[in-house]
Amino acid sequence: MADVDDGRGQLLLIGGLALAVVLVSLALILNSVIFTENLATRNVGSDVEDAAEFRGETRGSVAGSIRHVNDVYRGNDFTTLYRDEYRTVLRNISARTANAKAVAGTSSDIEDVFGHPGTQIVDNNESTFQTFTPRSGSIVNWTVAKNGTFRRFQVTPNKDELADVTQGTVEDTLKHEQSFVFFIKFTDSRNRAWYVAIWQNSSNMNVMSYNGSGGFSQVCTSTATEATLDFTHQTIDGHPCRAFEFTEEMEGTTTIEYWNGDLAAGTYRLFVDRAQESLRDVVNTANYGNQCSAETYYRPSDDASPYTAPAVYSSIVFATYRSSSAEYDGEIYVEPDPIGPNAVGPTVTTFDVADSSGSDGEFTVSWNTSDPTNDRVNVTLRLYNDTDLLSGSDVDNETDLPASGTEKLADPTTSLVSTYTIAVFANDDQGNERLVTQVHEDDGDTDILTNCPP
Amino acid sequence: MTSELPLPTDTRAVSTTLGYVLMLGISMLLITGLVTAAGAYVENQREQVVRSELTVIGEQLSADLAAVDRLARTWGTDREAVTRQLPSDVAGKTYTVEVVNPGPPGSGSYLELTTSGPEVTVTVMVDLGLDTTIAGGSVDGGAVEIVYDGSELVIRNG
Repeated sequence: MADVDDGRGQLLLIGGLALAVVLVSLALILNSVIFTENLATRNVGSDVEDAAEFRGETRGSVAGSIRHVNDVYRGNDFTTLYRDEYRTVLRNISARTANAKAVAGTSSDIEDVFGHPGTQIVDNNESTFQTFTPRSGSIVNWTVAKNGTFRRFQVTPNKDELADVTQGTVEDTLKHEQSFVFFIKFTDSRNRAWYVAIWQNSSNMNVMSYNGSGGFSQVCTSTATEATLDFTHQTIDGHPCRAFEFTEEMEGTTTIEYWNGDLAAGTYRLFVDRAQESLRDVVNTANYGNQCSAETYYRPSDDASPYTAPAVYSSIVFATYRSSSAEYDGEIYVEPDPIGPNAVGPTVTTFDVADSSGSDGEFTVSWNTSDPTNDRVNVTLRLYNDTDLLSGSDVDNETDLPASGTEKLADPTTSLVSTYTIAVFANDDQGNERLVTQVHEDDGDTDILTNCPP
Repeated sequence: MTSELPLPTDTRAVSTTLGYVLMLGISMLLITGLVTAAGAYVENQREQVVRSELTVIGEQLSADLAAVDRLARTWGTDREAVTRQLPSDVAGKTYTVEVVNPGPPGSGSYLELTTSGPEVTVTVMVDLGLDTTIAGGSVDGGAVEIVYDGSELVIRNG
């Protein structure tokens, strides 16, 4: 049995085993390679995309809620619009979104944080006899909105009511602010002006803008009798129009004026980031010298155009999103259909002046303010001894006042006058300022119901 | 009559023994050589695999950081967190990820991924926005959470 002592097979066996181990190690390493390739081709960032998508959806739903509330409940005061209607819509959206997300194993919540008041200016009288002029007087060059940011500005003129002129006439009209064509003038806070002229020639409605320094845009045309000029989407009757591109250059707040309003008729609508009463005060002051001698706009109850109505201008919501691998918490600012810069400045929501005693130069001022980004607002009150700020002197002031309150202003001099101008300056932490003025007689408010100023 | 005894001349046993020795020796030499060469090859392959896997993990983490940063930089993000399930080891070895040169943009921040045995270090650049600060820190492989807390990006084990 010589084979029993033969040890050669053992060595081969050990060698074979060692090689087998090496080969298995190689196989394991190959497995790692395959895993690495697998890892490298996985979709990175999809969790973040889901959170971003949720935020985009939320922004869209909140914008839709604001549009809905402003359209359907137009004519109600801001408190009703915001606290009752908007919050109800938002709660429904939050619940529906949460249900939809729960199906995919994620959770979400949308909570209201803040709503900023604004004003919608509407002319929905399609009568061709109703030109683009204000409520009072026969002025054709007038201020539509002053020192505000605005959004969703749409003008739908009737082509047949527009001036039928040549392009050369339009260019001259814009250059020299003449009276041959209806145009809209935009002036931003850096005092740069842009003009948008609307006119017709035979079969077309034409739109062209001018940047105030020799640059004219291309002429956009439409054959429709009623074509809508949409400043948000920069379109005329749904077609892109480069005449509206200037809105991207506007900075700060903007003043909008209609010039030659008698040369256009139709409808228009825009939202301004100033609360209704302060917008009416500043526009009336710009058009008629003070807040009460004449009215630029009707009110919804008058059932006539143009009118102003309170609106939800913008909103801040707090959104929460949770999935197995991504979390998101954040405040989302929503300002639907913006044109130019977003609203940042505070607005004076109420401004009441009471003159409770006789001719003593004393006025009690109550105010309330709101800031779109919920910043702290600082208020300054000033009393001027004339019918406007420029001709009067600042005889009394109160500075560093809170966002809302009541203060007494009094002329300390012995030379009391009969008419005073009271100004509210609202400033936020970012240095944005809004000003509203009212002219009042120092008569103890004996003739508040009949005379202007009260 | 004397006769001299002949010297042993039979070499058959010797050749058998020599044959064994030679065969065993050569076989051992061959097998040892084969095993050593294969082992070195395997070790070399393993290091390459570790390097490429660390690079892939680093790139993924960097992409996640950039994605979280992009979302955080847009208006309105108070807190954001993304959890990434990374491999707990690479080719059987644990690893660590460290943020080197943390700070605001311009600090030259990058991710350094290291394993020991084989000792491999891989660096991956982090491309963040103009105003995002990344916090320093070190995490092990496995579940990694990237958190934006309203002011800076933090990487930690989830």
